[in-house]
Amino acid sequence: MNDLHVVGQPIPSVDGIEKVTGAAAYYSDHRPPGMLYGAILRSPFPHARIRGIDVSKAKKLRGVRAVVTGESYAGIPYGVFTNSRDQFLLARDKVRYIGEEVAAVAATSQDVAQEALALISVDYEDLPAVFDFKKAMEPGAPQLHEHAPNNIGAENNTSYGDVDACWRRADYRRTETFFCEAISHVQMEPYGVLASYSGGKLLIWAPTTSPFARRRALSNVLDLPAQKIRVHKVFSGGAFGGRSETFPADYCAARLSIACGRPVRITLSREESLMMSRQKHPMEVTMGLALTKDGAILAKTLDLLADGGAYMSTGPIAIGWPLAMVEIALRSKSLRWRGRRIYTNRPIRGAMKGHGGQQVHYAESCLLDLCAKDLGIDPLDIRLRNAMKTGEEALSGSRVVSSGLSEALEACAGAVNWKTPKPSANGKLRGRGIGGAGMINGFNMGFRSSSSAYLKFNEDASLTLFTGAVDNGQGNNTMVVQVAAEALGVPVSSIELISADSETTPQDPGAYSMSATFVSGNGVRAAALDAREQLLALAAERLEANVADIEGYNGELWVRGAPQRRVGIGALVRHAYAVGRPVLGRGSYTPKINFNRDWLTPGKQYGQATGTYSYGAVTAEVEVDPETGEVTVLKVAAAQDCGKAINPRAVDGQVHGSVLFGIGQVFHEGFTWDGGMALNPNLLEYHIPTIKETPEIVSLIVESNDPDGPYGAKEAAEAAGLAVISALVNAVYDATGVMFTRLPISPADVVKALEAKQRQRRG
Amino acid sequence: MTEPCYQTIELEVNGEPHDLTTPTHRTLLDVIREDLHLTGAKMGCNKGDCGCCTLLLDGQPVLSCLTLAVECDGRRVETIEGLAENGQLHPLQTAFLDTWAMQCGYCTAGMILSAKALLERCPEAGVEDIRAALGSVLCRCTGYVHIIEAVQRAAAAMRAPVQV
Ligand code: FES
Ligand code: FES
Repeated sequence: MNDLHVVGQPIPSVDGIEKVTGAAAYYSDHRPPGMLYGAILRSPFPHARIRGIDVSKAKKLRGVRAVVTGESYAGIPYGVFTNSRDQFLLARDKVRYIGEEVAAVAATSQDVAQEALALISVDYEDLPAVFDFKKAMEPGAPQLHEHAPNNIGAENNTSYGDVDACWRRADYRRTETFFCEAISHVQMEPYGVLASYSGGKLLIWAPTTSPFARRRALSNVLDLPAQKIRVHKVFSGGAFGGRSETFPADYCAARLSIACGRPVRITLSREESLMMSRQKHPMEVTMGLALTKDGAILAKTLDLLADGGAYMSTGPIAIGWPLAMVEIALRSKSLRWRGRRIYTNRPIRGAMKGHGGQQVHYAESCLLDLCAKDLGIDPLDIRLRNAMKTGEEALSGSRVVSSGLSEALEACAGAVNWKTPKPSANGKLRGRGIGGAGMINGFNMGFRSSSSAYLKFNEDASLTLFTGAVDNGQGNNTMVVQVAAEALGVPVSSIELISADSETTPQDPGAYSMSATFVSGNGVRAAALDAREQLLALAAERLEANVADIEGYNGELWVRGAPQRRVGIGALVRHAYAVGRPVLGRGSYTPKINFNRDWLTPGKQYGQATGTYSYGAVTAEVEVDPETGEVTVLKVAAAQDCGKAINPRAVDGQVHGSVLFGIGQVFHEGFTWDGGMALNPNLLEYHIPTIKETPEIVSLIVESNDPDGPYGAKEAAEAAGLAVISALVNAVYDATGVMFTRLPISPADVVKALEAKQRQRRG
Repeated sequence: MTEPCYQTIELEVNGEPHDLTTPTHRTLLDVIREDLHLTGAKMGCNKGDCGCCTLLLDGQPVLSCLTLAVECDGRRVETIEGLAENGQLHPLQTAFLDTWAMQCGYCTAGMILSAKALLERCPEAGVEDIRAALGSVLCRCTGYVHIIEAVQRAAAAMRAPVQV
């Protein structure tokens, strides 16, 4: 791993120029000739039957070109999995949450489109609704879907080892319940889509985490063959898991365009984007830990209840996959898992940063601090005691391919002088907290688990690289270019990247499940090495040397030990064209996953879960004002084991972003509800952290050099992103002596809790 | 539909004069994006809450989603597209690029223009000034750390004597 020329360099992002000059084209910056503006009519009821829809007046409005309703729906219902297709992307018979899509119009201006919506009349029969996920499971509760008795849409039960024996044998046991409220990704770009249908072909421009998954779902719901749909690459204004699925707006724009033969662009308002794309699952996690008196974990028990809202979305993942994260960070002798996802008449919950992993990590890591306190063990030490190491096997048989968890824990502890006494704070309460977590790097997505790439050299030694890898801002474009440049021995500036286009680039898992660096990076590396081999062979012929003796970088190759015998790649490429052997690289990477591991069927959740795991650990220092309840985050030190930092600046940026996300989730973010309606669906009342809330952040890169990662690299910030949550809550616990078991924690919650504690002390 | 009233206005945008006839209820953001095709300004909320749409009006940052186009008659507008001169990036653009001060890039125009107004008003701006000036622009990706660093770097570069 020495002698790296490009990997490890903090080069500027390859698409940064477009972003700083305003040239970057997001979906809404495209405006093909004749484009119409679309708008969507939404249900005002949380649960109702649709008796009829009258669109005749809207159709007659001057400027309206098309109106569509659920009647137009020709394909199969939408669902992430073949057995979870429960949603018509335009409502047909029923609506199940406030905001569900009922009709859509396309018109010559946004104003006309909005006016047309007001002319559509819908005859609803109001039905009883249920908003509380626990009440939804009770007998007699309103039922959302016929296929899901008691509104239980998905369930996951499994256990490993002898939990009961371990529980009995333990010196100490504790069980607590934790809850996280629904939050939103709040990508700064509200969701939207541009669709253009002509000549039998549908073109789509929309922010997406996978153009291939999007094309597949559109093909199903529109009943069009895949090759007749092209999902274009666009710049994307943030994803965080929230651009993973295919949305009703996609269906509406496509259907409208098919109906009138003109391009149609739909832009969701901020409120629509917050409420009607996806939210993070609100989740109640009841967790038990059984430990020996010196802090070794013997048993973990988890019972998850996830409020899924109206449709299934990625629900089974949210209650299944966190298991793969919880079993791989802190070892345990046994584990029992129960997850249930409940339908309610609230917005649809889906994937977001860690996908259920955060909620579960919060429960585990905060419960661990409660246990550590009772056992008289330092929170850092109890984590180091249980931290999984390289080569260890988790309970399911999944192996830790490389782990920098212990190093990350030590590093972030060191950055806040963990073992020294806390500075005193003038009437305020000071606290320190720590958390450590593990993260999967891709998982079993069937045929979509692997990533392929190809590249072609041009006559001037430049090259075009084709990969399906997606960049929603994470830096994946730069990552794949650095990997290709390193493998090929060419300058970064000689690479033109064509990516994330369903038509011209090869299959890729997409930028979710933290797979981009590990899987897509490896796919690109394989294609680059293939082309490199061709170049070496050509050079060996030209220089009359053995292939094994050819070396070089920066666009030139030479004979080892005789650097005067050299040739430029351009000359080789031109020669190769002349003799009919053009330099075309191709390659693919499939992670070493056990594809029989079935993560929903009890008894079948065994084997390698992911190609590798990344790790993160975080310490936080907070100051609490006991009068106002205000918590100030003073410092966060976040250590991420990313295997190898392909671009350290990009990694730091990802870590910083994860820290602020965590601060938002712990202290600010969460919807407040009146039945099925959120009371704060705007950025003024749903507060995401601003620049004023950025504390001192120390980003620490830990490099465990994964044996299978491209140049040793793995995912770069999501593991630390989990740990931020518990580090912050544990810091507040350290400061106040109160463990907050509900997120977000408001100043009023803090005041109330401190008062209760005082009363207890007096009483 | 009630027919909108139209008004003809003169806007100087990035140094170039434009005569435009627009319905009076349209915002500066819509006119800049839809009529002048300067799409670097972004819509994040259309309500004044996010700052993605920030433009400079006579050198001062404004939320263009809350500004009516007709209010800007006879005034000078700067957008992100006007910052580079003769193919040379503005020091803020260079600094954002070098420090990875953008990830998805959706907030970048608002950030850079807000910072430009700050540095023109206050070349010695420190971290607290930067936090205050950029406080109305939200970024969900970066955690703001590299953004603060970029503005500091640009400030230093702009103060440095010009190299001949
Ligand atoms: S678009 Fe959000 S403030 Fe203007
Ligand atoms: S870079 Fe994505 S919002 Fe700022």
